[in-house]
Amino acid sequence: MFFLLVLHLVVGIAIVAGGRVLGPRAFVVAAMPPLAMLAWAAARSSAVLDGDPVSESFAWIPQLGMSIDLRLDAFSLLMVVVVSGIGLLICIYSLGYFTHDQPGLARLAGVLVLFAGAMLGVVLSDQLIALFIFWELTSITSFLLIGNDDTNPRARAAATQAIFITGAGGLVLLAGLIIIGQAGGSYRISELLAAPPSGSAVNVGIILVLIGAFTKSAQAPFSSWLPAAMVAPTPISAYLHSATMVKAGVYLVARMAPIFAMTGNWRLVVMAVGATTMAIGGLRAMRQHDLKLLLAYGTVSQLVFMMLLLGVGEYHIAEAGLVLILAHAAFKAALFMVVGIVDHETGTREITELHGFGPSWRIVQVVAIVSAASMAGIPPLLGFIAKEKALDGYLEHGDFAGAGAVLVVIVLASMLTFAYSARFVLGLLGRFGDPAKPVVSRTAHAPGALFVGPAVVLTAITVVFGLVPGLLDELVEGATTALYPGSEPNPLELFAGFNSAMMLSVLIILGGVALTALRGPVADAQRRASEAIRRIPSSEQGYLGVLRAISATANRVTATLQNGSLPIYVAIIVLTVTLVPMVPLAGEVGALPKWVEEPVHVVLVAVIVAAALGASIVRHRIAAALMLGAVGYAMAGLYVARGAPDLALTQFSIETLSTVLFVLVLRFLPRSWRHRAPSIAGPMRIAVAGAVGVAIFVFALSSANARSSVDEPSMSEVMVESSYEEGGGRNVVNVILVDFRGWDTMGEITVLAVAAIGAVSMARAGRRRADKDAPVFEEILDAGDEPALPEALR
Amino acid sequence: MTDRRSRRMLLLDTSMKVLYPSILVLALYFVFAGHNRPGGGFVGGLVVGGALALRYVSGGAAAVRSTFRVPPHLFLGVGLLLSATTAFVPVLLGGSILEHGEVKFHPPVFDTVKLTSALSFDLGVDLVVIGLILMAFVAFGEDSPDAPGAADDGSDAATSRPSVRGRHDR
Repeated sequence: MFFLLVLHLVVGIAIVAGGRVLGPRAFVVAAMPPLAMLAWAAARSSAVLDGDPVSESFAWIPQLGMSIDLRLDAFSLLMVVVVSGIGLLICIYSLGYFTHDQPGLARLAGVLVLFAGAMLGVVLSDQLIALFIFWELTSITSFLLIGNDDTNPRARAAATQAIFITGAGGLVLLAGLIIIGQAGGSYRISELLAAPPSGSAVNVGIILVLIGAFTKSAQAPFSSWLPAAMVAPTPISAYLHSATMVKAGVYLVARMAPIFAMTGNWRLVVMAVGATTMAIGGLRAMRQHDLKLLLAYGTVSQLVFMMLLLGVGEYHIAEAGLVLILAHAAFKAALFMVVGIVDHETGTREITELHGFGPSWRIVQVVAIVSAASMAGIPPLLGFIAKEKALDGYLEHGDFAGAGAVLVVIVLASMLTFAYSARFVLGLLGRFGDPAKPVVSRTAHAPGALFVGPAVVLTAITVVFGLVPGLLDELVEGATTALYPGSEPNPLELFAGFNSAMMLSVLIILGGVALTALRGPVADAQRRASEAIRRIPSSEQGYLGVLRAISATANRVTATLQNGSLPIYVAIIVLTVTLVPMVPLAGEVGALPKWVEEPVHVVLVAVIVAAALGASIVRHRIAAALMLGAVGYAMAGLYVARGAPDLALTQFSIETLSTVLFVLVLRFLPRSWRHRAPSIAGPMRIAVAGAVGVAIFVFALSSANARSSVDEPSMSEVMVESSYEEGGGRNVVNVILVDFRGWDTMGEITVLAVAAIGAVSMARAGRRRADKDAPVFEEILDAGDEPALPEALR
Repeated sequence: MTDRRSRRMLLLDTSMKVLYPSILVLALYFVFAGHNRPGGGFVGGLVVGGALALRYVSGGAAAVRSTFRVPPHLFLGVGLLLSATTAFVPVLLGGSILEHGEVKFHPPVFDTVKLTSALSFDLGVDLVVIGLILMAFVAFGEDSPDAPGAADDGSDAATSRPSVRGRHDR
C-alpha cells in the first residue's frame, strides 16, 4: 500500500520534471500508478470483502508517537475503486482531450498523479493526522491543477479562492481532529470506532471536523469555490471536482458518522447544512446556461445528498449513500466528459450556442442521456437504485428527530435534480439554441474512440449495475459492515415491490417532468425570486468580503505598527521582550536579594542612577550619549567589584566604542531635541521605561532563584571544573564562548557580519540622495516591477 | 578636509605614534592570552576598534582607511571563514562540531607553546569585530555633518548597539 503511494509520488514528480518530452503521451505514463493501484486492490479484494482489512504501519515521527497507518477495509476499497478507476479513465480521456502539446501539459499530468496519490492517502489513512496531511495535499494539488494555466488571471483567482477556502477549512479540521484525538486517547480511526470519546470538548471537535468536511465538499456557505474551479481543464474538473476530491469531505463524514452521529449536535448540523445546500445547489443548477457550471452546481447538490445519507449514522441509510458514491462517480464523470467533448469540438459550452448535433454524435448523445437519466433517478439505472434505497432508508429507518423534514427536502431536491438533468439533456440536444447565434454544433467533428471510450465505459457501468444491482452487493455490504461493525445491510434490488419508496420515486419523476414541461414559467419565477433575494449576500460575495476585510485589517495593522515613529517601534520592541517573558517569571520570584554586599556597590549604583537620569533629562544629544556611556562604565565597575574581569573588560571596550559610534552618527542630527511630540508622550515614555526596569528586576530575581532550586551541581561549577580538561583553557568565560557555547558565538559573529553589511548599505543608500541621478529608496519602491534595485541589494 | 587639518591636536598626534602600536600589541595579547586569562577575540577586536577610534579622532576617516590596505569587508569574510573552518574541520576528522584540539611546540627560547583550535576560532571572531568597526567608520565617518538624508542612518547605529552587547548580557 505504502509502496503504491510512493509510486504515485515518484511517477508524479518524474512527469512534472521530465514529462515535457512526452507531450500528451505523458498521460499514458500517468495512467500507470492508478492501474497498479487497481490491480493491487483487486488482488486483495476478496480477503478485504470478507472483513479482513489489510493494514500497514510506518514509523513517521516516532518521538511523537506518530506513524502512518494505512488500512484497506471494504469502504476504503470502494473509494479506491472510485479514485483509481476514474483516474485511469480520465488519463485515457485526456489523451483525446489534449491532442496537441501545450505549455504546462506535463505539469498537469504529473500533478494529476500526485493528486491521485494524495487522495488515495486520504481514503487509506487510519490515522487522523496522516489523513489530515493527505487531505491538505489534495487541496494543494487541486490548487495547482485549477491554476495550471498560469497566464489566465481567472484560473489564478479561482485557484486562490479554492485553496483559501479549503485551506482555512483544513486548519479548522486539524483543530477538530486534535481535540478528538486527545479526548479519545488515540488518533486511529479504528480504535476511536471501538471506543467513541464523548464530552463537551468532543462536541466542539466534531463541529470543527464537520466545518472542514463542508469546505472540502463545497457545502453552504463555503460552496463558491467549486463553480469557480470549473475554469480548470475539463478532465481535471471531471476527476477532482466531481468524482473524487470533493468526496473527501463526504468520506470523512462517512468515516466519523458511526463514531459521532449520536454525539453533540453532529446529526443536527449535518441535516441542517445538508438540507439547505441541497436545495440551493439544485435551484442554482437550473439557472445555468453553461453546461459545466450546471454540472458544478448539480455536484454541490449531489454531494450534500451523500452527506445526508452517510452522515446521520444509520447504516440502512448509509448503505444508500455508498451506492450513491458509486453511481455519482459514474454518471457525473461521464457527463463532465461529454461537456469536455462538446467544448473541445464546438468551442462552446453555452446551451444557447448549441443547436443539436449530427448523426455521428449519436453515441455521445446516448452517453449523455443515460448518465443524466441516472442522475435524475430514472429506472433501471444505478442512480435510481441509490435514490430508491435512500428513500427507503429514510422511510423505514428515519426514526430520529428531523428525519421527516430531511425526507421532504430530499424529495423536493430530487425533483430539482430531475429538472436540471433534463435541462442538461435538452441543452445538449439544442432545445435552448438561440437562432441568432452561429450554428456550429450541427457540423461539428465527431470525437474519436479514445475520447468517447471512457464515457461509454462509465455509461455501461451505470446501465449494467442498474439492471443487476446484485453485482454490487458484496462491495456495498462489505463497506457498510466496515463502517458499522455488526450491521446487517439489505441486498440491493432494482424492484422492491410497490412500497412507499416506489411511490415517492414516481412522485419525484412526475414533479421533475412538471418542472421541465413548465420550464419557461419556472425560469421566470426563479428570476423574480432571485431579484428579491439578491440583497442576501451569496457565498461568492462572502468570500470577497472576507478577502477585503483581511486586506483592510492588514492595512490598518501595518499603519498602526509601522507608522514610521522610532519611539513607538522601540516601545513595542522593548515592551514585548520584557513583558512577555515576565508574566511566567513573576511567579518564580522568591526572596529578595541582599541589597548591599560591598560599600563600593553604593557608589557605583549612585553613578549609574545619576547618569541614567541625566541621559533622560539633558537636551543635548551628544551629552545624552556620553551619559549612557557613563552608565556602561559604572556597570563595568560593578563587574569588577563582583570579580568578573572578563565581563568588565568587554563591557568597557564596548562602551568606549559604542560611545564613539554614537557620536559619529549623532553629529548628523540636530544638536538637541525639538519637542514636537504630544504631551502624552512624556508620561508614556516614563511608563515604558518603568515597565522595562521592573521586568529586568523580576528577571534577575527569578533567574537567581532558578539556579538555586536545581538539585544538580550548579551549571557554573560544572563549567569551571570541566573548563581546563575539555576546553583546554583556564579562562572559563572564554572557554564557554569558543567551546561550550561556540556554536552560539558562530551565530553571533554571523549576525555581526550581516549588521555591518546592513549598516554600510544604509549609509550608502542615504548618500545616494545627494546624487540627483541615482534612485532613492522611495523611488525604488514606487517603480514597482522595474528592476531598479541599487547595486548593493542586487 | 582642510578645516579638519587646522583643528588637529599636536599633543594627540604625537602621542598616537606611541599609543597606536602599543594598543595593537595589547589587542594581540588579549587574543592570545584570552584562553587562560581575561581577554579573547571579541575583546581583542574591540581594543583594535578603540585604537581605530583614536586614529579617527586625530586623522579623520582618511587615516582609518589608510590603516589597512585591504577593504574592510575582507576582514568580515576572512574572519567568518576562519571561524567556520575551525568549527567544521573536526567534523571532517570524525569528531563533533567545534571539538577542541591542541598542539604543543617546544621551540628553543620559549619553554612550551600550546596552540589550541580555540585560538583560530577566536582569531576569526577578532577579525569579524575589526571588520565591523572598520565598516562603521567608513560608512558613517566620511559624510560632512550637513549631508542630506543622514538622519536615517542614525537609527541603524542605535539598533546595532544591543546586538553587540547582547552576548554579554546573558
